[in-house]
Amino acid sequence: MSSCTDYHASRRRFLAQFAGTAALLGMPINRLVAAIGSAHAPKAESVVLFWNGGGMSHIDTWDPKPGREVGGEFEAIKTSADGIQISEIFPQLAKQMHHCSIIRSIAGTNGDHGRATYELQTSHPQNPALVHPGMGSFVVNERQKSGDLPAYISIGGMAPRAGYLGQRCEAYYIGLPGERDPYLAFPDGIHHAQGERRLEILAKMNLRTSGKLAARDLKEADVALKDAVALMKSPALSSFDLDKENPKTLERYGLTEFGRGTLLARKLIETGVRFVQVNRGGFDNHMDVFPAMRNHGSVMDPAVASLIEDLHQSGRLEKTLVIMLSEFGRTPKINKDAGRDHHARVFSCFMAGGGIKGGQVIGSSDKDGMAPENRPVQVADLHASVCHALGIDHTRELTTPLNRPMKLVREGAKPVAELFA
Amino acid sequence: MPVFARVLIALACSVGAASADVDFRQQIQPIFESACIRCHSAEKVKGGLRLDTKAGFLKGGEHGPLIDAKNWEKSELLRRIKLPRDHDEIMPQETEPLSGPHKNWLTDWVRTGANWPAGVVLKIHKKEVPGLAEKEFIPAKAPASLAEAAAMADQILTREVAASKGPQPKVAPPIDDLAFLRRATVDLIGRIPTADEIRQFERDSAGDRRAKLVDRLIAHPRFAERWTVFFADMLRVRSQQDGGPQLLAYVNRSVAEAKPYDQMARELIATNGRPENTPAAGFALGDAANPMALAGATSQIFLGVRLQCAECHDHPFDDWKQKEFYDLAAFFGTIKRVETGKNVKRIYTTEAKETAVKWPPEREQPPKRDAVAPKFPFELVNFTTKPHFISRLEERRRPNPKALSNAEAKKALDDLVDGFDVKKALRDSKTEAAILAEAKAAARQADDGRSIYAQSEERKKLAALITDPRNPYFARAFVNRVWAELVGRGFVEPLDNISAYNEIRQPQTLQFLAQEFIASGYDLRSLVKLVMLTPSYQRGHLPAGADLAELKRAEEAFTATRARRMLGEVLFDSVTVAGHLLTHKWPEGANVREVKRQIRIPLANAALLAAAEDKTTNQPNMMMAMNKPGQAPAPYDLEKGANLDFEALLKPEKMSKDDDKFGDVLSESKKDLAMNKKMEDDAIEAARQARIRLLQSGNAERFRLEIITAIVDDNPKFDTTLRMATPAPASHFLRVFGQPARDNLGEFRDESPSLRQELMLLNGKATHEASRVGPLEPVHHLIAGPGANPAKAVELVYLEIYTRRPTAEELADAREVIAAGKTPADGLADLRWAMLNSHEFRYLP
Repeated sequence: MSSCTDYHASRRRFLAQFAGTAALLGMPINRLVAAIGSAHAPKAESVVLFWNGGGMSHIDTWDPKPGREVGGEFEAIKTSADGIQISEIFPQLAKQMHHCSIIRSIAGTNGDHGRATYELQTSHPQNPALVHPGMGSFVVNERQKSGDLPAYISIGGMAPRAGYLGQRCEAYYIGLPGERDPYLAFPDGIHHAQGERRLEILAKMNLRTSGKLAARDLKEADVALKDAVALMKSPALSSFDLDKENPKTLERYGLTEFGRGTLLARKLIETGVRFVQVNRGGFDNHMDVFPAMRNHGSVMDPAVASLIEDLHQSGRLEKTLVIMLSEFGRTPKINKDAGRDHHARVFSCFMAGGGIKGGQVIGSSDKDGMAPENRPVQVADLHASVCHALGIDHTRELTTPLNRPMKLVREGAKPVAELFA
Repeated sequence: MPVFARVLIALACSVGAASADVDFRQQIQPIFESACIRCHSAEKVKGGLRLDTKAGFLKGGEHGPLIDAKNWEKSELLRRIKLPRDHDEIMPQETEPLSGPHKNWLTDWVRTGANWPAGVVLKIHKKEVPGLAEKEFIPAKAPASLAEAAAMADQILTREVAASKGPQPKVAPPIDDLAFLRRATVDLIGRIPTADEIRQFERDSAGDRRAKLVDRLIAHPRFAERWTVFFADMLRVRSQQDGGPQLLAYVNRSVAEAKPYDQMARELIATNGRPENTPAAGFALGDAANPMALAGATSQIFLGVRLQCAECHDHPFDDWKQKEFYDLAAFFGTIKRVETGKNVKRIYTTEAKETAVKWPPEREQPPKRDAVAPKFPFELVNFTTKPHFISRLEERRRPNPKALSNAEAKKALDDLVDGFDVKKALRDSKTEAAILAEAKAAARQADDGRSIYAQSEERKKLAALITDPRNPYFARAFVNRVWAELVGRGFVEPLDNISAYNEIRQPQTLQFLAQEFIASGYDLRSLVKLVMLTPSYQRGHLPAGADLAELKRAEEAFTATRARRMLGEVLFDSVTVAGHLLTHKWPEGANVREVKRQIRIPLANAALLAAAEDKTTNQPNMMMAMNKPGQAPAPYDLEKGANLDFEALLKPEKMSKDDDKFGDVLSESKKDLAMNKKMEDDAIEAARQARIRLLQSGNAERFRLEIITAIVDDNPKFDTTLRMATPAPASHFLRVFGQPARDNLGEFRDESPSLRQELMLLNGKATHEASRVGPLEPVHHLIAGPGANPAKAVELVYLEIYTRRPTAEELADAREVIAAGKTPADGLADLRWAMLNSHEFRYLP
């Protein structure tokens, strides 16, 4: 066994003991931390994560600075939640704000796309010795799937890797929402009866091999094959289909890839998928940030607002945590190209549903959105909060294939208690 | 005992209020041995103090006793170890201050009476090279041939296994000839054998057909392609990185040209320059020319030692010190990554004036940090008499006058390290471009007369130390990897963790193979052949019924092999070979059909969309890519890949017009550039304005769907995946079948099965097309038409897919399957599909 973290862990335990602390204190401390908001019973069963790659401007979205030079082109508008204002690019979301929470005081540490993305998606700093699982992977590791569909689906882009959790926890990837996934049905020209016959021949052949060999992997391969065939035959596959949707619904979410992806996310959640990640790029606006954000608003606002409204209507909002993340914010200062550059010191995040308390803003940035002013929130606190909403112990220790103990969420993270007040 | 075990014992002892249980042998002795007695023992008695014996400890030194029995907290021992780092009297002085836990252990030990068990004498603790101590089974005599070496390796292995403790492992019988053919072909050229290759193999005489086969495969052009994959995993080649494609092409060429492995390693470690000209520079660029990352990568990749953990603290479970990591990193201290050019980026490595590696570590926020001098933390073995494998290496490398006269063919070892030879390029090139190149070359000389691609003397020294035949890690680390690639398990697992705290299985066999590898001139092909001739490579698997412990024991003793799954690349290429998909198997127009497709028609104004396109960059702008939904989706993209042109990548790049970096000699072309630039700038600005209008229109991403009818002729042809840009995108077939992302050190291939893998084979384009029987493939006339012979057809299909003939039972089953098809050809397609999807196809015999 060889690792860096377990060394730290044992060293810490040591120091705790020699400092005269009871040896068993380590665990209770963690439990105490986990128990913040313990009156709150976990309600969330599934998660929709909107990942906005590139670093979304916080000032132009969730943390407007009206009247300040850094405020930029957009007005702040009133919302359905008393005293909360957001950017004018989200007029429909403004009407859902009583369901939503905004955290305005995330204290990021990393202004590099790669490293910041890694940390925002996994809660851990990038470490050359190990790949940590992304949020979706560790959630489905703790919460198995219900129904035939894969537990974790990524739409319109790549989800982070499952790392040491392995293939089992990788996201199922959907490129274009609504398009038929060719891998989920027999190829064109193979009708059902022929496909069934093929599977029978295959089963017989595999049985012969398994009977002769003591290989461990064959059993797992048999399970994977069984799951694959079950998925191909599942009626739940129709949730991937958007053709039968009411054209008005499609219009409401927006005739865009993002709108279709968001609608698909809702349908998948309704079918029992645990974690859906909807990916969107184009936020690295070093140039012309305002037209870019105007466009982002026109695409995202109807989709996300419709999702929250529909989930609320169907009573699923309580059970579905919606969270929107980006790797960092953007500079308050507007640069010479009418853009904003990377800014990690403070940025915002948006959440709704999943049993969290709506209509509130947690923390604040200073008057120009430069740094946290009140109640700084660490990046990993977001992951702890997602775990808490789902009733997952974020301090749980997992073991990597090389027998290295590893915390689910970075050590020291605390759920943001106000979300669960 | 591994340190963590000590820690655990200490933990167990100290639960409860009292910490009286500090264990001298487990906790205190190692501290004294590693930190104190180098200066305070019989050999050297600094300050009159000896700490190797109880008497010496009790007596104390010039400053009096170490322990204050009345007031333990005032003890001199504790005062000294707790002083600040830069205090004159801190102990230890020759090494790093003690860590927190060590200070705590000593404190507790003193508090509880500083009990030194009688008779315990301490010895200077020497860092040991793991797995070298025993060599009684290794014969003194050098083998005369590879076959003899393979036999010797097996004798050593057998004796090691027999001498091991515990129950003896089960032994699997050797595999039969056709299974060997399949295994060897897959391992050496990255696909299953064809029917022709099977026939050729069977024509060879039974006595030496295996050895002959190995020779044939080693000379096959695909050998280099297949083993490029091995090196690409090991070196973490990423074609999307700066210098990545060139590095991949370099590796491919090095394997093709049978470049000795030590030479390749030296080039990778020491080369600076622009990868377009000196592709080995891509290795350092892969880690962004960061000295710390390069130190970690170099030790783990080339020496199989995970020194990386020591970057942030003394290695927790090994003897490596943080300072040693810095010593190693200092060899890379002056490496510098340079990026120039605006529209076309030029990226290269060169040398900076000052080292970036300083001590103490920055995170300790020391008042002052000093440059670290490079120092190789690994000890070379000091042989009293020169061992035969080194003499044999020297013999092999003695300059041969005949060969030297052929100067072009025989390059000096370090030639490539010295970088792209501008003068030679000029000689070779007779065009006008050469004149420009000469001017540029002149301009490239910096004030001090050095090329802008300065080379590093320190890294050359490091490269020489790492590849020295007396280095006990270099050859063994590589042999361990090659053995694991072929046999399915390494002597050391994980493959890059040679450590005193990680058991090496059958260490003498490993040592012997490493010696032979050195003696062969670090020749990959000799090593591969040697491994393949050993009985270990040729063992079958344990039959069903063996339990996990038995499997483990036999695999660790190499008396049985594990059922390995083919690598993703090999699996895909095997499907296409078995299905005759490398050429068209249908006449043109045979499969014409209409398909309905849904396409996206942008709602935005077409002229505005076109105007807004970013013409200045080849890199897809994420949002703009999303704004171009017009094309029909390509449903099987996850099986496609762009192949790289290795040859073109290795041609030194001609100086291009926009290379405006190098001085006044280029003023003419610079003027041109300025003119072009002005026009370009106007065009860029126009596109920007169009983009702003598009984004504000609210229609930038909106589209409507339309169903179109397309005519397709389903007659696909596939290319090998071994030349693909690598690693493939996430979710690609290769990645789903375990190709690592290669972002981090120690990422190995994931062989675990998954649902996604099954779906990609069950319903993938390649399996589907491979199953269909086309008129241009050999089996066609056996299944359709007047001369049809279904039994022969089944036999051919079994040979082509499973590399064996069907049993009587399988033949009967197959005939039923064929009969059940709409046509016999359809039935045969069903059979082939099932075979391609089966365990037997994916897992090696």
